[in-house]
Amino acid sequence: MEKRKILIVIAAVFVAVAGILFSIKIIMNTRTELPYIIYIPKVKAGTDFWLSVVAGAEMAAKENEATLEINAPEDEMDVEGQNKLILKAIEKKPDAIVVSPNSLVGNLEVLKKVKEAGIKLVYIDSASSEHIQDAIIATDNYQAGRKMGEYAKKNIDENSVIGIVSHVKTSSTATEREKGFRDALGDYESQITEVVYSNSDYETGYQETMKLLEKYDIDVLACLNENSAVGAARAVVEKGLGGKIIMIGFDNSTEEIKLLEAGVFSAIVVQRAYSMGYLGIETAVKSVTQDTWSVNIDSGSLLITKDNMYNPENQEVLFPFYGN
Amino acid sequence: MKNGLITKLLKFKSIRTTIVLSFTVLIVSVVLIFAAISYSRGEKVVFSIATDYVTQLNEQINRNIDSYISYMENVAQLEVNNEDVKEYLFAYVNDSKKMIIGETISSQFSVLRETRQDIHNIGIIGKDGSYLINDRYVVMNENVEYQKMDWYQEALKGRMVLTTSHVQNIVADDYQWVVTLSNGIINQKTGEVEGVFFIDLNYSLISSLCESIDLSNRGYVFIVDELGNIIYHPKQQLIYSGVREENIEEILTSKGGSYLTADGDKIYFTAKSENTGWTVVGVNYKSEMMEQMNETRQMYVVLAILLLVLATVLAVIFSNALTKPIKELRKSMKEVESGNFDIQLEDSDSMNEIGRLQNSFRIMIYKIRQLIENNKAEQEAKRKSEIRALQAQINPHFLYNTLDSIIWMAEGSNTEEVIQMTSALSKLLRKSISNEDELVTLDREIDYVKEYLTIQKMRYQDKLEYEIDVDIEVLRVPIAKLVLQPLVENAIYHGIKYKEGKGLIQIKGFILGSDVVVQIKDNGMGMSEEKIQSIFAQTGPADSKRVGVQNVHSRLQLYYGKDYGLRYESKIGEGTTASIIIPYLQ
Repeated sequence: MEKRKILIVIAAVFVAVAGILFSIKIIMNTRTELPYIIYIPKVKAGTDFWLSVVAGAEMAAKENEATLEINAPEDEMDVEGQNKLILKAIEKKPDAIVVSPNSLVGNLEVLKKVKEAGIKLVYIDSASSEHIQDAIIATDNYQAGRKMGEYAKKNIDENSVIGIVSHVKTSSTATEREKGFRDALGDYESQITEVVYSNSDYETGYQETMKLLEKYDIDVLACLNENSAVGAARAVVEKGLGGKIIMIGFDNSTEEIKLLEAGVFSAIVVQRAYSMGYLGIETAVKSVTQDTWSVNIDSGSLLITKDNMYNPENQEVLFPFYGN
Repeated sequence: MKNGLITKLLKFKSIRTTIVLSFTVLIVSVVLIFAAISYSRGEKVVFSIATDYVTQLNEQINRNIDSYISYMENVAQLEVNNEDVKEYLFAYVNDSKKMIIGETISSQFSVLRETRQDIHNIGIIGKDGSYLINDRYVVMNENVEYQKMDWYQEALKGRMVLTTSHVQNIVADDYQWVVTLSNGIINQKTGEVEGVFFIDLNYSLISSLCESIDLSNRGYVFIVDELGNIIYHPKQQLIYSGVREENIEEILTSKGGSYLTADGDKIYFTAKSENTGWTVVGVNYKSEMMEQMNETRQMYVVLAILLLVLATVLAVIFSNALTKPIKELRKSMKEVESGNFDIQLEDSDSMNEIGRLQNSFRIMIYKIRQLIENNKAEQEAKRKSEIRALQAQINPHFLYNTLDSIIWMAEGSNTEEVIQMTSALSKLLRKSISNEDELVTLDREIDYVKEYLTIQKMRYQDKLEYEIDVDIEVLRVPIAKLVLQPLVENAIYHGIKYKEGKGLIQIKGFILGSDVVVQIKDNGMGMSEEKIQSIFAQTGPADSKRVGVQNVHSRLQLYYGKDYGLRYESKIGEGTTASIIIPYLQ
């Protein structure tokens, strides 16, 4: 009788010990399960834009205690290389794959496999032709275009002649930025004489702008991406029109910044690349750890003029700092 | 109900259980108190460790920055009083002379830049637009409006100023993140500040200093100046774009030390440098510290459990050691209780209460055993003396009767018969005396009875006849001495003596089952049930005639046990049969 009671007491103690150890193990286990994310950008970090995106992504990973792996293709045209990287990423079975697709359709089939493997798919900067992603973080190009239009509207009158240097006719970013620009101009929209295309090439941009400047007495020139802006600026400077016409650029490069400082550009619209990378990874983590997350985030853009380019917040965007 | 259950649970039958339980309860409460104290202290300990750690790191950052800045201040102080610098900016010397002075200053600047890698630019700018930055060949950015820059304007007021972090664009094609220290240069001829000396400290120095600090997974360090401008922040861009927020106001108004932010999760540890006016802020997440704390707490819990298990095991072992001798003692007592005194109890070497108890019990058993043995010996002695007394009783009783007969015959002058009877008596007496053994064979008893009957037949003449019919197997059976004769005597005196006509005594001996039966049968008067009862009764009035039967029965029982002895059957007017029943031993 007494023996049985002692046995019961001892058994109870052991059951309690086992139970507590087990629950501790569960707590420990849940703690070690950090989200594992692979990010495949458009290109190996080389330009300021992609450096900023990657820096933002890494900061988000650190802050959310996620494991982040970044594998980038050699250049922005390398669709096949990017597809291979995506397939490799699927094999590693991460919780989420974050991609900045190099092609609207060229990556689609491979990206569908990401979803088939039950892995979360998040886009940064650009999308695919079909909506298969769990979330996208990009600059709202329409809003960015509007910022250009609103700035132009303040500095022109009904006689101003307006020209547009776009990049690729079928590109979604080009059409959205152009639409935003046109919408913001309001009544002045009719004063847009012509849209020329640089095909994202400095030389073409330069030549097309030269033709445009010869054809019309341009007062306002809106450039819709970095190549277009720098190509057009070279033409404007060559024509001796630097600072005499209102030129609005897009994105930033050292050359573009110097042109802004020199007064060739009156203003440039820049994307918040760091925020884009940061929000991209943060959203990917949320898609893994939470039930709800924002599926479409505008990482924002910023209009910078020569006067405010050295403001603390603007110089931070124009001259992203990476330690050295 | 609950109370009843507890009382029930506490009513253990064994000391062992009680000890185990009391031990366990005691240790559980001690461990729980210990765990509770550690648990509650855990938070304070973790926080104070974190505070000390972060505060030290902050101060270390401050010291490093202070040392850089004070070095630059020394350089600035040196350069604004440098005669070469003043001559270069303010003296109206010809170009070749100016070139020589410029060469001297350039070499000074390059020495400074080479010894200190953290100096990015070092230069002087005159109010008139003349300048020298790093060396004579560096061209100023033509688009820069340095006159509008804070570091230039403030220095022109004759003060030494330190800027926040910014992109320095004064040199053409060079955009570098720096912190600028500047000071006004006085033209001694006019006594006015007419030039500015500036030195750019590489921003990466500060950023890498802050980044190298490892607070915790999510923790970070940032620096703000006196006006609330961010000098360094790992999430600077996110703050400017509004993705993240940092309550700078709170830091500027706080008086230093550490405090919890309004959202309740971040803990700020601030340290302000009096030299630069900058405040270094270390940020830790409370949730992360709680995790650490939980780990510590889990450790306490595990420790407590281990202690409990250990304590329980020890309690069982201790109580076993304590109760084992008690249990053994209990077992021995049970043996004794059931009547077995032949137990081996070891002399306990333990000198505690239980050991002494065991020793006392052992001595007690020993004494009881002695008493029993004494008692047994006494009983034996008593029995032997009783038998002797019985044997002694027979002889005079018989003698008395026989001598009576001889006297009676002598009175009748039957000399022949007197001789015959006296010789028979003499034989009888010899037989009874000759053997000292208590047991004799049945045939000897029969012989003895024959002598006796010879005597009695002479006394009663034709009135007494006898037959003896004993099986050959039983002749050698041992039997207590002098048992037949008193029964035969009894049969004569109580059966035949008062009978009209001839009396017959038959003696039979045979085996019945495992017993030997010897019957003495008479055809005399017979006896009533009460008479039979009375001849067996041990007590009662002293009657010499009864003594014979009663002592035969008790002697038989003393020798052979309660199952054996004497049995009487009798019918009034028909006769009596006395049966001796003894075990048949071969």
